[in-house]
Amino acid sequence: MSSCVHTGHCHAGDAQHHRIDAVSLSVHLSAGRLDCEWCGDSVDIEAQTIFLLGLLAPLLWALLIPLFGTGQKQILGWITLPAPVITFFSMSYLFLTGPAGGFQFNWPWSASLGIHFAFSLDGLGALFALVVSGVGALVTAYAAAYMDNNQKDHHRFYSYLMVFMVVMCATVTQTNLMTLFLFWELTGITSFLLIGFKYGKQEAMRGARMALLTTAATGLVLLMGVVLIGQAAGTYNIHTITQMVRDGELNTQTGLMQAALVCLFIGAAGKSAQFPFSYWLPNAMSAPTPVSAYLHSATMVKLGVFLMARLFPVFGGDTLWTILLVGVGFFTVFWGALLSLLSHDLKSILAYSTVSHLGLLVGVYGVYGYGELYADSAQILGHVFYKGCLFMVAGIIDHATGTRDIRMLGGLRKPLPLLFVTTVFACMSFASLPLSFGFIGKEILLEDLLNPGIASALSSERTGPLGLLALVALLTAAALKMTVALRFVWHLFVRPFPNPKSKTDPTADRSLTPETSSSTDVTPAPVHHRPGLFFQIPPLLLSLAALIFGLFPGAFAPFMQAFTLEGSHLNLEESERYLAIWHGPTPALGLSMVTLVSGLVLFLLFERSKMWSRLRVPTVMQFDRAFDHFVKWLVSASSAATRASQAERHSAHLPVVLGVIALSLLGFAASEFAHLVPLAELKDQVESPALSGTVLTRSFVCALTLLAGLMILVFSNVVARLILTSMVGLLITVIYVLFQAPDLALTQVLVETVVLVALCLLLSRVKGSFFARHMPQLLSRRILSAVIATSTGLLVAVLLIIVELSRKNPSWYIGNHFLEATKPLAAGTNAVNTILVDFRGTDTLFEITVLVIATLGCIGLLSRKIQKKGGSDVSG
Amino acid sequence: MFQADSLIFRLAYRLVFVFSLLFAVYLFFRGHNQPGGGFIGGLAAALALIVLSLDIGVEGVRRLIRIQPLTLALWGLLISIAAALIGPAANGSFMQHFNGHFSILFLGDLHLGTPLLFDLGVALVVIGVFLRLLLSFSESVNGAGGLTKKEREELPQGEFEIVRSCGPDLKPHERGGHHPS
Repeated sequence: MSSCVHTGHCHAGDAQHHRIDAVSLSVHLSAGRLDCEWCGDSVDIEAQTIFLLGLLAPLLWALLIPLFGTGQKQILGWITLPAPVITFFSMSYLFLTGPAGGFQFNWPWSASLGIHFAFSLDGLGALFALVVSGVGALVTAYAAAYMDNNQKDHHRFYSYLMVFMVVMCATVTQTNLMTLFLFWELTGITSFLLIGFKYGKQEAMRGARMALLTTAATGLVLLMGVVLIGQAAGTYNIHTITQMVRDGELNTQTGLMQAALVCLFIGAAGKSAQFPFSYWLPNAMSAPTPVSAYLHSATMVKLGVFLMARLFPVFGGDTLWTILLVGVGFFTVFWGALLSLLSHDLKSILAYSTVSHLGLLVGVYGVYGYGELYADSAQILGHVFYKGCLFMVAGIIDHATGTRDIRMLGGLRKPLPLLFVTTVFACMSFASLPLSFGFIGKEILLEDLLNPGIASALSSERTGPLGLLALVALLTAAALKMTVALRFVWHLFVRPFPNPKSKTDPTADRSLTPETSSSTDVTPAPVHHRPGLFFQIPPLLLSLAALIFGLFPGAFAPFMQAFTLEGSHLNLEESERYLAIWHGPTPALGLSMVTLVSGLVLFLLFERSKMWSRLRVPTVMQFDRAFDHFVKWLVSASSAATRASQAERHSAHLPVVLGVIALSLLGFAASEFAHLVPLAELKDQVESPALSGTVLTRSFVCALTLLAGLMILVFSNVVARLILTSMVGLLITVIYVLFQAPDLALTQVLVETVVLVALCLLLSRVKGSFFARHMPQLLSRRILSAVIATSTGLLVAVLLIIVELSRKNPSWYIGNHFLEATKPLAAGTNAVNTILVDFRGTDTLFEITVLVIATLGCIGLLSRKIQKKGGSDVSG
Repeated sequence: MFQADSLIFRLAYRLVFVFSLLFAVYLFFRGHNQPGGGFIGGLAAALALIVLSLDIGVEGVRRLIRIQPLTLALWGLLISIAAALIGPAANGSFMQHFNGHFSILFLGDLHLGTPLLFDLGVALVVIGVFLRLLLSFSESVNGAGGLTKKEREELPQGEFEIVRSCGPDLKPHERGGHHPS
């Protein structure tokens, strides 16, 4: 009953909440703030309102968009645009005006379990929230041009997109791991809806299902990790956990924490498409291109990276952490780069290179476990800028020419000059050429890998030659990316149309869409409808951002300062490092130049020998077939398990159910034995009743009940047994009356009546011989039934005696509390009823819900259908 | 469905219906202070309607209550949830109840509160659920293979049979009741 009348900021009497708040809620007192009457902390009402407005604006739009029209309405994109813009500005405002450590907002959800909606706009959260809303705005503007009359259901698209944005913003601002998991899974579901947007296509359905199964399965592992870390730390709040690790209260070397680390990493690896989960991302490319640019390059796939960043202050420097992140991350770097070289579909190339860069982002957090985290935001933002841009470019080319097969494209520089410039800028970052943002990020990482301190830590006995592996993978991948970036620019824009005759079979690449493979006989795709200016502006903005930060890396320093995670980043003011194009003739620069030159050489070699068309991604490396086999195996294993565990007759289930109840009660009695022994001493206090009329009546009724129960065994006729069962029930009603429990008696009478009516009606459905055949005939079976029935009855009796004895012990007996409280608290004199509707009202609410659900199940069992004799359905 | 032919029985059913329904309403309203309440009241009302169906038939009862029993149950669920949400709406906690006393002419002091609303939801759920199940039972009294009169008229011509949509089907010799010719 008791509750805080505050807006829900905190909850009275919740010790754990206060512990979390002590760390996470920074106390500020100024105008517009309200002190919570329970915990004394203050909440900035204005900031809270702005935050909720920004967070929920897209949700409002998602609900309202269908009202503006359904179907093919290009205007819907422009109607949607304000929502992400509102989010972007409100998040920026809060970030800029926030206190040190950012605004914290806390809404308890299940406070007693330590689960709160704990939002935090600290450096990391704000970085991701701004990326989500900023790129969201650009993608919406882009989609307004992309979604034209060739696409169906525009309202559905924008609604899904906005819902995704809400859950994504909520995920990246969560500090409570449990709610973070909740929103994490919601992003997976919205991603499923968006990948499968063109649900008519086999490919889209397949990609959507694969993405959902993979991310949901690894998400469950993530949940395991969250629960484990919660068990170890006693809280789900990541800020508190960080603080505990820093204060030395929580040891990350324990088995529990190490297991949690592995589970959390698997969850992150699934979402961020790390090897071996990388197969789902290229298959997710059947989504509309705005979705690919938004979810599958800029935001959602970075959730794993986000989680690693959040956990960095907790686990960073741990051996297992380093092995997992550096090993898996940098292998993914190499793997993705290699496969992107072998692909021909524009979006596949970009998807695999995204996989590669995600591996890099994950690996960075492993490497910096031995140093101070530096410029991770530059790595993340660099990828957002150039990859989001390139995806949009791919979409525009697909739109203009009707194909995404790079082998059929060429000479687009003349018809699409603006796009050419955009692509060149973006590809500079892609290839990490000097003067680009990508170059800065790669230089920093290379310098650190070559840093003797970090390099020796990464090559210690415990980690093996990880440092070397990382370095080799990074350099190889950089060379391959240079090749791919050159190919991107050269093949799409510069070279003339390739001769269609010289092409080999383009269907060799499985990742091609059906329409591109069917259009093999036509000449290379010309630009048949030119993209408008608005279509080309969003990618241009992104590539300009990549260019500007590349040319003036110093301009990024304030951002880097702002987007830090407290305590885990280098203090930039004391640091000697700085962002610049020219760091002097360092070994890192030399290695960079070598990779760039080797990438160029590789490109020229391929170009000269016409190798491109012979390349393809081997089926084994796609993992698609393995995934299909796995799913098939899962289905057959599940049906085998069902067949093995399901019995056709209910009578086969009953011994199991009752047996389990009997065993669990026995277990309860055994575990509570220590409590029960002193209870037995209370026996003396129960006054033995004098032999009076009441006692005689009660004994008589009890004897009658017992007799009726025994008679059931004697009779073999079903109807007779039924009547006797009903009689037992009614006699129990009499017992209730004798013990002065009118509510129970009333209920019992009515329930007995209803059950009897139902059984009579049901009995008339079947012949008596049916029962005769299904009654247990075997002696062993009858003995088993007798044993189970007797032991269940005995256990219930023992429990009742315990309850009766515990009446004398006030700490055991709760009934008096209800009897005393019913009038003052619930304003009713019938305690049974006030318990039902008030004290335990939520129980009742759930019970009636279950009742309705059970009825729906019964209807399934009772419903019949008309069927042609021995044939298929006619009607449902 | 059994439908009594005797006038005496049929009138008796109606009388029993009227009084048991009144009793159900009485049980429902006295619940807060005296034995009774939503669950009991709902059960009694459902039973009263089943008794009525002996007179006017299942279809008659369906027509009488106008609304699908399951829809009734869902409305009940909604009402209960709404009653539970009054608390949060008034800055209280979930499931928090409010009670008030009103003085009304001739009736004197009237005690009303949100528990009554909640209990009404419970009662509607109970009525809906039991009516749905019991009416189905009594309709298909001819066995899984049997048909109601209405169904028999609407059955498409030809070689058709009625089967259960899930669960093991009864063999013909296990079915009781009257089979359609």
